[in-house]
Order: sequence, then structure tokens, then C-alpha cells
Amino acid sequence: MMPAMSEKIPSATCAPAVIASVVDLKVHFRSKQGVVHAVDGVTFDIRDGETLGLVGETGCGKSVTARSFLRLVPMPPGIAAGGSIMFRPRSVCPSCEGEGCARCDQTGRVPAACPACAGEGCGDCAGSGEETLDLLAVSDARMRALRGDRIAMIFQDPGKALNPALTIRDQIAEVFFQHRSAEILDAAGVDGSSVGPQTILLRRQAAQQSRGLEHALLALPPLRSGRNRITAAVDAMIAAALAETQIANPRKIMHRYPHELSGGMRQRVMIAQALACNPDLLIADEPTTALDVTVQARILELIRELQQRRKTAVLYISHDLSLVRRICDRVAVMYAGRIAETSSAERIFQNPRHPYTRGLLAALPSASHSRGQLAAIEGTVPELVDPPPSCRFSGRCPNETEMCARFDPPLEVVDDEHAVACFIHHEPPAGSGERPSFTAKTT
Amino acid sequence: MQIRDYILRRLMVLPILIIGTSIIVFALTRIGGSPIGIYLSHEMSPADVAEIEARFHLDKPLPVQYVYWISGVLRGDLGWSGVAAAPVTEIFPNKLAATMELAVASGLIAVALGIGLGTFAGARRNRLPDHVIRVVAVGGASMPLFWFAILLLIVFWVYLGWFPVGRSDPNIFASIAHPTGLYTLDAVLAGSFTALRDAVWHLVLPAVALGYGATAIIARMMRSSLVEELQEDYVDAARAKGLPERLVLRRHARRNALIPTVTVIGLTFGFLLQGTVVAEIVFRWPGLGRWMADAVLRGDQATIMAYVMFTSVLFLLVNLIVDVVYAYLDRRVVLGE
Amino acid sequence: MTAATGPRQAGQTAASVKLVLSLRGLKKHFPIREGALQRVVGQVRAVDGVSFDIRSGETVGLVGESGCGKTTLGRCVSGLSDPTGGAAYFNISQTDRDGLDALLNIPEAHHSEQDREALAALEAAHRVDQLTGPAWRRYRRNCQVVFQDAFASLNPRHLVKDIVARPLRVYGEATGLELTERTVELLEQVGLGRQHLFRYPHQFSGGQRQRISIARALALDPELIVLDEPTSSLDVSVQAQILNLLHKLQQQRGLAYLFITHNLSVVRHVADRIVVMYLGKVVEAGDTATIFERPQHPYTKALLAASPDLSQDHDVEMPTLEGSVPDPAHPPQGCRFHTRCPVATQACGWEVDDVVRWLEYREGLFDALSAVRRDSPFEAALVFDDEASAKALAAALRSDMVPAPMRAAMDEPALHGREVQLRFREVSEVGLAERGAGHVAACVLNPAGE
Repeated sequence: MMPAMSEKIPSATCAPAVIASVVDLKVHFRSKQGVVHAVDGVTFDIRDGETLGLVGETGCGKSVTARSFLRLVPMPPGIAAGGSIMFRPRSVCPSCEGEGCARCDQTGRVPAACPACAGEGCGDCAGSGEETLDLLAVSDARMRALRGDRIAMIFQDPGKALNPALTIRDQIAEVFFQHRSAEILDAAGVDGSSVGPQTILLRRQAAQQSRGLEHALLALPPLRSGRNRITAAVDAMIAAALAETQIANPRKIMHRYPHELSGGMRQRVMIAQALACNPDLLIADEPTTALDVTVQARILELIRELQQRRKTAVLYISHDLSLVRRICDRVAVMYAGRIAETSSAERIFQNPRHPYTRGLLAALPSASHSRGQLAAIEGTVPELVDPPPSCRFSGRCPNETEMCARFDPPLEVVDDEHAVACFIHHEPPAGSGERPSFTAKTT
Repeated sequence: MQIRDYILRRLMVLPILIIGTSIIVFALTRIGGSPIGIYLSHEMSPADVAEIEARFHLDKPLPVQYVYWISGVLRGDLGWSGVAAAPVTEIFPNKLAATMELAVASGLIAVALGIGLGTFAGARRNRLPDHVIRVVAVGGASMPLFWFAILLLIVFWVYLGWFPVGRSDPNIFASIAHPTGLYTLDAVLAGSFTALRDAVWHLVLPAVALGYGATAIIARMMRSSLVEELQEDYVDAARAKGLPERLVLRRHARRNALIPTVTVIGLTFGFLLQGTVVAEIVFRWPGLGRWMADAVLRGDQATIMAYVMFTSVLFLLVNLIVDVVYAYLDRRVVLGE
Repeated sequence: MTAATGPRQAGQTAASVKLVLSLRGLKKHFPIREGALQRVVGQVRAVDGVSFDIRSGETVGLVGESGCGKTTLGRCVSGLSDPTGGAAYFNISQTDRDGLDALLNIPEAHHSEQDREALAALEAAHRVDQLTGPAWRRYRRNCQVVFQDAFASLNPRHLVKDIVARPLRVYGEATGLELTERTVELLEQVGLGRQHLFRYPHQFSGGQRQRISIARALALDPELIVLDEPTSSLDVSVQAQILNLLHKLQQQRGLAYLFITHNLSVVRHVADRIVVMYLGKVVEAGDTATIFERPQHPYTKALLAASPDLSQDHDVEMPTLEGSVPDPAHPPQGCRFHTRCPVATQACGWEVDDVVRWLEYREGLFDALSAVRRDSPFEAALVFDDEASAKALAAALRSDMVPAPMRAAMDEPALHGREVQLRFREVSEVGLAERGAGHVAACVLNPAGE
């Protein structure tokens, strides 16, 4: 049922290039109580250069979905129970070498040709001619090459996501060492193609592969100057990356330890680190939740500005609807491991279709509510241990019908780009009897 | 607080701690009665006894005796060892060198093996290597040292004959000079391979026996703190940068996991010092521990007091070093609060 | 400044209004110790002279960002830590409060015998840190706390029955069957029930745990509950449930709340009056509607602008604040907000530290700075390693590289070789001033913006 469903969503076949599509993703966890269906058949697309908001409450599976892009879900206890995440990595634009030109629309990136058909379009790339990878199936080595280079991630609490024992410089340097060692050698004036022992040692240094004794050798006179040139080259790259995020005096800041910086500064460092290699997709997992309101506004502004300038696709995970409204082009609302509704940000806030989305919006305290009259969604999120085949929202839903407890509404398109998983908006599965009537209030 | 300030502060408190320790040591030793017995023989007349009593100030009240003793200590006079029939200060350095060699060797084994095994197990949590290491570690932590030492002795000396007991082959030992008193180090300084081989060969069994328990403690600590660190966000962040698992473990998780482990290493040093007594007796190692055991059995109070004082100060110093290393590893630590 | 707090609404006689709590110049400083001898070298001024009232049955919202001292203040109010200066007065009538203010405004040296007696009587009856015996017990019972993290504040090894019943048992209110019945009653009031008595905290969801915390706080029938970020770790839908519950309880029991939060949309919803704090001081206080509709302090304005609201047009540029909150151990002179204020004037308290802070972002210059010889916060000589750097700084200070109000507040910087002599106009601390009925703000700009 699920693979067929993805075809019903127009965006999978629709015009703006899709950089990543999640198809029927299922991630389960083994627990003492049974198998928890944390993510249970999630399908959505991220288009090139857009910001997609993935919204939901604690435990709805939004973080697990995000982490699945980088295969950061620990297995065990996690189980990859099915589905795929198709990703189309970009390569550096050949005509401007990443500087940004007319050909690559100032992004410095162009689609990579499918290796199977050389851009002709074949089964592997679904006829697009672009290289398409299933992130859940690629080799570990390929995954590592993508992480931090093509797909980067910003974490919720920058205080925890930065290693307290390493300086900012050492942490950002790792990204360049992993993915840009050729550029580092270039900038340091080391001829990477020669095969002399000196070059090999320096090459290993630039790729962060030196071990024990090599460090000692690199500190000795014949190699020291090369090593220092590499350090200087990396420092320059780090300073440039930090300056991108409007950190003043980056050369000074980079020698500090994370705990010496304020929360906002740390998050800027995280952003600088994530954008260091000009990724195609940035996953931002609640990047402002741990910050103060005024700092949050600045970080949000920064992410938006960088995103617009670089046209990076952003998957923005949040529980805060008002933030999502500010920054996202499209929104997917998640509930209990499923997508409840997807649409453009404007539509979803003006005309929410799913009772859960409506409930969420109504629950936000605002000036128009009188006190004690907040529309709380009664009840609690269901346990996701071996869930029955019913709508996940049944039991809390104000519009519930007898149908909802027996069938699981699939996500279907209701108009344009608006897709909802609720029987209010489309027929229950064939043969399930009469159509449910909706007498309950629907505002 | 600055690290320098912290060290100064600790050093300022050190004399007070030492004085306190010395009072406790003196009082506890004297509870066992007057130390006169060790100096007497059957032929002495009451007048001789009185004369000896007066010579060692044993006829004075206890506080006065303490003042005599502590002022002697400050002058570098630790008293007369009845067991060795020589002044304590004369015997002490050689015995100390032997003990330190043993303690340091087993300490190195414990730290290297403990951290290595702990990392190995922590990175493979709940898989076979983890379970094996856990069994080995629980064995090390729960097996009494004397029993394990005797076991090693029986297997490797009595049956297999692979390793000797004692500290050295007397002929080889006499063939080189001993400027530091540490046999291995002396052998290296003398450039004598034979001597080094002899030294290491003798050192292996007692060092392994003594180090096993400490290895187990360190490995357990290292494993659990590594498991904890591996769940931190910054480990995922490191993976998200594309680092290979080897670097994630080495540069990120292990370094932070070492922080709590270092504290345990400091405490383990006390455990090692205490173990030297048993290990030296079992392996006939001519160090402080064995001397100490003889002194306790024969009521040689000057030796006992010297030994306890020395080890207490050493323990205090080692833990000061540990705190400083801790502050170096964990930049967030605010010392002294 | 004390006279300005608390709205005086028409139609309410001063005597009829009871103040559950009245804070007067409350301070909480934490010593900073340094060096081998651990001498006290400074004070972190977490709360630095805060005055406001909480009337019976009302909700006061305390708003500010992390590090502004709102949590420390909450701890002082609830008796969890002792203030280092000023005081909280408990259960005082408005008439008595006015009398107290009048007395406190007279310098101590000018107190007559009568004044002293009156003050002593008021303090003995109301001042929290001087209450003893039954009065102290009454205060403790009447002031309860609910923390942000219900999981951390509930003992994981105790059953719900024991957690909720504990205050009742400690105060000898009930025993045996009666205790259980009272506990069930409390649980029912917060939307839980008898079936939850024999469970442990970890068996509940976040929202339910917060309900348990509230039930515990209600046990002794208090007049005031300090709510320290009670919904910050909850999801919106659950937050709505808790906020509704809190409102219902307030209606039923006439509770007063001190609602500490950083979330403006929540505080707008729940609070009658709002107190905005920045760096240990109150910058603005007033009725909720007034604060949201006519904010006077630039910091309040910035907070409001930064806090997203669904009803706002989302395409509006988000105005943002520069820089970060200064170190509370060395709060800025004058108005503490002037370092980040978008509308700062030359009268806002520019000082030597502002120049040093500005220098930190000038790579070459800051490295060349070798010493700052301070005569006062407003006067100092900056010593550089070389003359060129000193010259560069002097030139920069005259140019528009530095904020214009800072330049205006400063005498012409004098260059003496490697030294730059700085002098700023001295400014005293900016106090709260009346901006309308019950509305106070601490800003040198007056309401009309003249």
C-alpha cells in the first residue's frame, strides 16, 4: 500500500528537483515491553533549496526520522524495519569550482550524473539522470563520505553537541580533514600527486590519518614546515567558515573551548561546522530550543539568511509551530510515528486539515484566548508498542468516528500540495462499509 | 580557580595534613605499648634497660616523646630500626627503590591494560569481548591478592619454572652500578642488556600479581564511563561530520571517558601501595613492604612510623597530581569548589 | 523606586488589598573566590535590588532570559535561599506596605524613636527572614514551589501517595485513612485519581508528573505558589492542559502565582501583571495588557519582537539584539542594558568596559593592549605595547567605528605615548520611573521618546 501511495503525492514526480525523498520509512526499537514503532511508514520529499519543517511533539519520531538520514540511529536497539531514503547528492559545479556562477544558480553545486546511465535516465535514478543513493543501503564508507560533506546536521543543544575537551578549531578542523584534504594540501602548497615519503606523511596528516609516531615525525624539521603550512591552511578555512556565521574575531574564538562561549556563539559554531563543506542538505534538529528568545531570533535569522544565499535544502525539526511558520516553505506534521499532514507552510497555518494540526494550533496560548480556555488536546500520546491498525490519533480526536478505530487513514492528497491522513477528507478503504459521518465540530 | 592557585592551596594544606597524620600514626603505634622490647636482650641489667630508656626518651610522657620523634623526623632522623639493626634512614632508600620499582611497574601495567581493556569492552558493549573482559575484571577485583600471587608462584615458578622469585640474580645485580636504586633503570643506564633482562624477568610475576586487581578496577571504570560518553550528543555530532569510528572513539569518546577514570587511578595507587606488602612477602621482594611486615611482627615502632608517614605523604601527593591531570583533561572543571 | 511598584487601581481602597508578598530591594549576591587563599574578590549580582508586590489571588509573571536572576529570585521568595540584602514581607496589607515604604525611604540615620519602633513592629510581623515560630511555619506553608523539571523534583523511589501526602504528614495535618482521603482529593483536583496512588513518578508522562508536583504544592492550602517554568519542558498540547488546570485552581482557591518563565506568549496568557528582569534588575513592570501594547523599555520591546506569535505576519523581519548578556559579576554602569540597546543614548552609562569590550573584537588592537589602569568605572588609561596601536585606538574612538552615543558620552580621548586616557561622563544607575498607572520602566528615554 505504501509504495503505491508515494505516487499519489505529486511532489515525488512534480517539477522542482527533489533532493531527498523518504519513502515509507519504518524505524522500530526493541524494548522490554515489545517492539516500539517509533517511525512507522513516513513518506515525504525535500526539494532542492527549500526549508521543510518537520513538526511534532515529544516522541512523535521526528528526531529518529532526521537521524535516519545520517544513519545515526543506534542499531540495536533500533531496527531498520523498512522503507528507504533516496538522496541525490550534488557535485561541485565544474565551471566555477564552487564559487557560484550562473550555471549552478550561484549555489556552487550541480547534480551529479547517475553512474549507471551517465545522465541518460535509467531505473537506478528513476529516470532523472541524477545519481540517486538509498541512504539506508549505501556502504559505510560512502555514508561517511556523505556525512558532513553532502548532508550535515545541527543538534539541539550546542553545549552537548560540541566536545568539551577539544577547542573549536580542533572540532571544525575535523570536517575539513575528512572531506577537503586535497584542498588543504593545495592551499598548503604540497604536491599531492608525488609519492615521496614526506608527501605521504603530509597527505596522511591532511586527511587526519596520522598515528602515534607520525605525529612525532611531523614535528621534526624537514616536515615541520609542511605541517605548519597545513595548519595555517586549515586555520584559514576555519576562520572563513566561522566568519560566515557572523562570529566576530574568528581567529581568536577558534582557540577557545566550547564552555568559554555563550549558547548563541556555540550554536553559531555548530552552524559554521555544518555548513563548512557547503552541503546539499542541512538537518537542523531543534536548533534553537536550548537558546534564549532574543538569541533564538538571531540564530533563526542566520539560518534563514545562509539558507537563502546558498540555496541549501534544510530539514528543520521543531516542536514550535510559530518558529516553523517563520522559517519554513513547507511543513510536515508528525504524530505518533506517522505523517498526519503535509502542505505549504502558509496553507497549513491558514487551513489546517488534520484534527491534530488544528489541536496543536489551538493549544498555543495567544492574546485571543481567555484564561482557562486553551484548547488542550485531551489525553496523552499513545504507546507505540505494537500499535493496532487504527488511526494513531483516535482516542484524542474530537472528530473521531467508529471508522477511525478500525482503519488506519493513509496520507492522501486533498488539493494541490495538501496531503492529509484523515478520513474527514477522503474515503475509508473500500469494503469498509459506509462513509463515516462527521457530526462533531470541525472548526 | 587557576591551576597554579589550586596547587599552591593544596600545598599549603599539606603540612597540616602531615602533622595530623603524624600525630595519629604516633598515637596508634604507641597504643601497642613501649617500643623498648626491640632494643633489649636477656643479658641486660635493670640499669642497662633504664639507660636505654633514657637514651630513646622513653621515660618521658607521651607528648614529649612525640616532640622528640617529630623533631627528629624534621632533622632527617627517623630513629633506629631494631629489625635491620641500623638507622631507619640508612636502610630506607634501598628498600624504597625496590618497592617503587614494583609499584610503578604494576601501576603502569594496571593503567595501560585497564584503559585498553576498558575501551575495548566499552566500544563493544554487550558483545562477546565485553562479557569476557567483565568476567576477567570481576575475577581481578574479587580475588584476594595473596591467593592470586601464590597461584602465579606455583604455576610459573614451581611447575613451569618460567620466572624466578626475588629481585635479582645476585651476581648480575653486583655487576652494574646502582645510582638510582631502580634495578631496571640502572640496567638501562649501565647499558647492560643482561642486567635489564634479569631485572624485567624478576619483575614480571610480582608486578602482574599486584597489578591485576588495579587493572580490573580501572577497566571497569573505563568501560562504564566510555559507555556513558558514547551516548552523548557530541559523539553523534562527530559521526555526523563523517569521522571514521576509530577517530570518534579515540579523539572524542575516550578522551572524555578518561576524566572519571583518572580519579580512580589516583585511588588505586593507595591500593597498590598496600598490596606491595603481600606481593613482596610472597615473591621475596626485598622492599619496604616486607621490611614493614617484619617490623610489625617484632614491634619495631620507628620503622612502622617511618613507613606509614612516608606512604601517607606519597598518597597525598599522588592525589594532588591526579587532581591537576583531571583539571587538564576537563577544561570545565572549577577546582576547589 | 519602591513607591512606583504595584498599580493602584481605582475603586479599591488601599486597606482592602492584601499583599501576599512584597519584595523590597531584594538582593542575592554570590561571592566569587579566587587565589590560593580563596579571598572574596567580587560578587555575582544574581538579583540586585528587586521590588514588587504580589497581591492576593493574582498572577505575576516574571520574565527574562537565562541568567537574569529570575530563578534565583524565585528561590529567595520561596525561602529556598536567603537573600543577601533587602527583604521579602509576607502577608502585609497595602496600608502597612505604604507605611513601610515611607519608613524605608527615610535614611536610617534620620529615624526617630517612633520610626524605629514602627519599623521594628512591621518587620517582626511580616519580614520573612525575621519570622519565628508559628509565623515562620505559617509562611512556609503558605508559600509553595513547583519546579520546571518535575522528574527531578519528585523522589523516584517514593510512591505518589507518599509524595503528595508528605507535606500533610510533616505538618501533622492528617494521619491514617484521613491522610489517604485528603491525598485522593488533592489528586482529583489536579485531574488524577485514586488509581494513581500506588505508582512511582517514572510511570507517568511529563504532564502528569507536573500535575503531581502541583498536587503536592496544594496540599497545605497555600496562598502563593511560585511556578518556576512549570510548562517549559512540556509539549504545547500538554502545556495547554496544565495552564487550564492552574487557572481553574486559582479560581477555586484564590491562589496567587508568581509565574517565572521565558515564554512570552504563555505569560501573556496567564499573568495579570508582568515584571521584566534583565541582569538582576527589574527593567519594566506593569499590567499585562500595558506591557504588551505599550512597552516602554527597549529590552521589553526586543523580547516582544523576538518572541514569535502565530497571529503576527511571519514575513516581518525579526528585529534582533546584538551581543550577549554581560557578566553579572561586572554589570554595566548606568542602564545595564545599554551595551545591547538599539536606542542607547549618551546618558545611558557608557564606561571604560564598553571600550574594552569593543576592543575584544579588534584583533590586532586587543592583542596589543597590555593594561587597563582604572581610576573609576568611568575613567581609565589604556596602555598598549606600541604607540601605533594607541594612536589607532584614539583615532577609532573619534570615528564612527564606535557607537555614536558612546562617542558623545566620552571626553576627547587623550593620547600620551603608548597610553590612551579615557574619561566618560559619570552616570548613576537608572531607576524605575512611573510611566502610567501601575506601569514602571527603568529607561532614560521618556515615554514620548524625546
